[in-house]
Amino acid sequence: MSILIVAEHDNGSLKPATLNTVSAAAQIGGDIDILVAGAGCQTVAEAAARVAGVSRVLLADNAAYGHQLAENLAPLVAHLVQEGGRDYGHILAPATTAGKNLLPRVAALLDVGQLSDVVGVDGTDTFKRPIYAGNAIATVKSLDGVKVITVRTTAFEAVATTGGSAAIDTLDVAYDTGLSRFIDEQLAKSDRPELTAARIVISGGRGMGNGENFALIAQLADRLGAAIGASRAAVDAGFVPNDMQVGQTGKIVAPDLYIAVGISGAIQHLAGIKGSKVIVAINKDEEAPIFQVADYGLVADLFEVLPQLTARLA
Amino acid sequence: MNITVTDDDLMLSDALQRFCQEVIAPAAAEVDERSLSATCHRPALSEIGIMGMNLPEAYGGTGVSAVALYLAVEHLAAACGSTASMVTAHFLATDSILLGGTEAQKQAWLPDAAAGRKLGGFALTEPSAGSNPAAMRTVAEKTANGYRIRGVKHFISNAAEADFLVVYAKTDKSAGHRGISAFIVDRHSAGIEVSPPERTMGLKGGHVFEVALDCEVPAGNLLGGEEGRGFRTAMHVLDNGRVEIAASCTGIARAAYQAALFWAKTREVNDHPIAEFQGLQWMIADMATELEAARMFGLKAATRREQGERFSQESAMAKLYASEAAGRITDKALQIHGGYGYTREMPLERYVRDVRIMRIYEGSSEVQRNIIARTVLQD
Amino acid sequence: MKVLVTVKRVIDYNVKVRVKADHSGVDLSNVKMALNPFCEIAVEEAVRLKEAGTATEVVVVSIGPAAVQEQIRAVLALGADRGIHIETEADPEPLSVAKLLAKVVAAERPGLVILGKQAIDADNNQTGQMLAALTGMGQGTFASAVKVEGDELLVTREVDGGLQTLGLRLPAIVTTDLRLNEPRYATLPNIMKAKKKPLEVRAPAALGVELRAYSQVLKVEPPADRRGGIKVASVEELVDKLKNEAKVI
Repeated sequence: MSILIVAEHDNGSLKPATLNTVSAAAQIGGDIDILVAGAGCQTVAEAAARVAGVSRVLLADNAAYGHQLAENLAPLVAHLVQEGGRDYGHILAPATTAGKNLLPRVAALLDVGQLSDVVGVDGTDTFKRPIYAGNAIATVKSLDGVKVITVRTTAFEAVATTGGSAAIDTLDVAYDTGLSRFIDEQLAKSDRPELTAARIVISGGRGMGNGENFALIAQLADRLGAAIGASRAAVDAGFVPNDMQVGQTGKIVAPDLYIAVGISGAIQHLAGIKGSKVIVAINKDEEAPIFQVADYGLVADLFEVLPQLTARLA
Repeated sequence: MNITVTDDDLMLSDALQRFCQEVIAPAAAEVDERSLSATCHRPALSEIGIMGMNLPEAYGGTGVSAVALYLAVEHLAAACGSTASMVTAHFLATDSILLGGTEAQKQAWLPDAAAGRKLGGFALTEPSAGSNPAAMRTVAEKTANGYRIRGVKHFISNAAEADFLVVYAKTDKSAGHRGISAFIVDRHSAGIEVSPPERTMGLKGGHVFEVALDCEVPAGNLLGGEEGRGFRTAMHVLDNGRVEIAASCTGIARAAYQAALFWAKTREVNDHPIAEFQGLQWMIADMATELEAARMFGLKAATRREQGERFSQESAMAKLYASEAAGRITDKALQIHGGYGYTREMPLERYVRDVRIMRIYEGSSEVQRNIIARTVLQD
Repeated sequence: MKVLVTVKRVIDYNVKVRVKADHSGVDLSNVKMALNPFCEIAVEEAVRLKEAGTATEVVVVSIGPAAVQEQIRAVLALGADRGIHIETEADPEPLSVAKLLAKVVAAERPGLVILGKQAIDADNNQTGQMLAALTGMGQGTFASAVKVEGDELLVTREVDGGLQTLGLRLPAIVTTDLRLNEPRYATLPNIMKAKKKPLEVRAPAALGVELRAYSQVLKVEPPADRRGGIKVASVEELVDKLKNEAKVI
């Protein structure tokens, strides 16, 4: 049985999310094919062919696929499963907005269910996935002949971008349903993510000293695509506006990563961050209460650490 | 012996609880800190229909049951005691017209008040007539076109922003409480002076005022069109009001209790949540029991009111018990929070301050005891 | 244009769920239930379309046991005109839900179907897309803006890199994302009036759909415990831990 992965790309380059998905496929076992569907995406197919562990690349290069319209891509994938002659037992895509948009449509066309946002593989038909906003992990067995799966990329280590030398098969089947059309997109993110929805939040406290110094946090936040918050002390001291306040009387956040910089860790602040997956504290006072709840604590001068951290994540 | 809470009551209650938590609660700390009038919430409260919750549909109200009304006030108070106070004071004014007015007066005044377009105030209390309204000195003298009302009222909620006040005044000084009549007074009449808001211990967003009156009202504004009925109307209105105050007490106590529960479970001493200490467990058990008892009293009075039965005794018991239990519950909740409970960063001290007046206004605990004794002894 | 809105009854988003000790599932006893937040946004959008004169009727559908009527009534109180309750004690998977909804779509022939992008219990994010496939309609998922222009629907979608706008031929399917709108509160008068709006109950069999399982939950476990915090000695070590141990960057 083979595995078909729908590549994540922008017609110019293969996105890393595909590499994490290949890793998940490797855990399932079987030949791995990557479908690169897009417009003018030859270079993406070539990059996919070089990925470690890939058997074959299927290239569907057509204007109809240029913007990853699900209405056109889904029948293509379904066609490959039903008539591709490759005996696909699994269809994978990263759980990105593209993958999440496409795969359920594929599943319905194949009359099978889907497992979304898988974080663990246990053989060929059993997988782990988060439910109830990650407050529980379900181990689920698929009962379908073809298993359609989106993969949470942070749960699988990316495979190497080189080492593979797969053949590239050019497909000439093009589905253009006319159900949808691309109008435009705005991809440059000029604003920061919203505080309560951001995956990473970096907050500054009284230790920042003044509002200007928040620029150091801003640089790190830019690097990580993070939102910026503040403790009540920083807000009360006038460093930043009050809509940035995180804590019991401010915003409650539950990001994957919360970095508290120069924050002592008053209970009210902690009440606003308890749901965070990982808490990091940077404070030069090693007795600061924040260290009792931080998963990783760094006792150091934030004015030295912040630039170093920013440089390290270049 | 019945307490009846219907599915409809619960549906309304759930919907309102969410509204109160999401819209009213976030402003509560600031309303208290800056003594901002809770009337800032009038647009939102009007839109959702709370301002007319006590009134039947026939007059533009929402016509919810007395039980749903009880639950709604509890949620409102849990979110912000000041807002509940402002709203229930408005209810005292509209209830006065509903229970004591002529059909024409109800049609003229209630729809706007139900929609929240007009705000009412209830002016019974005076500097020298609190628990003894029959001793009031405000008089209403007949004139060619109506009445001239002269006197001073005290601790009147909503007076500054009200559009109308239901003023209780003596039309017959020699007849004791039977000499009291009620009048619907246009707040913007000439001769009404409202003081700046009283600086109080709590409910700082539920502004109360001294109102000096020397104004004229048309004859058509005599409530019910009949002199001497004012005291009876006021007593009926306060029967309703007592249940709402009981609801307010229970709401604030509930908020304090839930805060204490959360704190006890999360605050650690020597790596143990303080909820593991028996001393605190006993405090929490007492709080939980008293809270439940207070709610049962309130719901029972509300059920009897809904079923059209006499409920003066039940409402007096509910108000007496809930107000005194709220004092104990909020005090314990503050204690559980230790030093943090004493700071203004946390709402505990506000809960303590907000409930203190509940043992005093709308019939002090002493008055409630009089009512209960009287009704119990006369059976 | 008729707009069909689907809603799901789920745990209230404030509830912290607990996994049962026997790992057979999540403990839902005495847990507060509510309308799925993304579904609320779907309802709000439908009601706004009606207020703008674009939609002539809003029909709400929900699938589940008798208790879901509470949510249907809440949606009627928010402005939907009538409700359809597909009654079943089973907890159908997204494809089954989509098949049931496809039957309703075939019968009601709406111009637009709006669903929440995902339910906060199972977090699948599949139903809208599957329904679109079964009905042969275009799909505008993770919508942050929706506009009807002639017989086309313009949908702005929140995608990983930013925003994308698509044009979908009507009838079409939309799934809502958080920023699409801010749902209103049902007013008390509307809650009272909702009691009189029609609510029809149907059985899956009557729709000609046989529910089947596409997967089986073997066990449900709590997430890995928060490990005791450690102090790191340097920025290098911190970055290493975040990348390789915690895997958050």
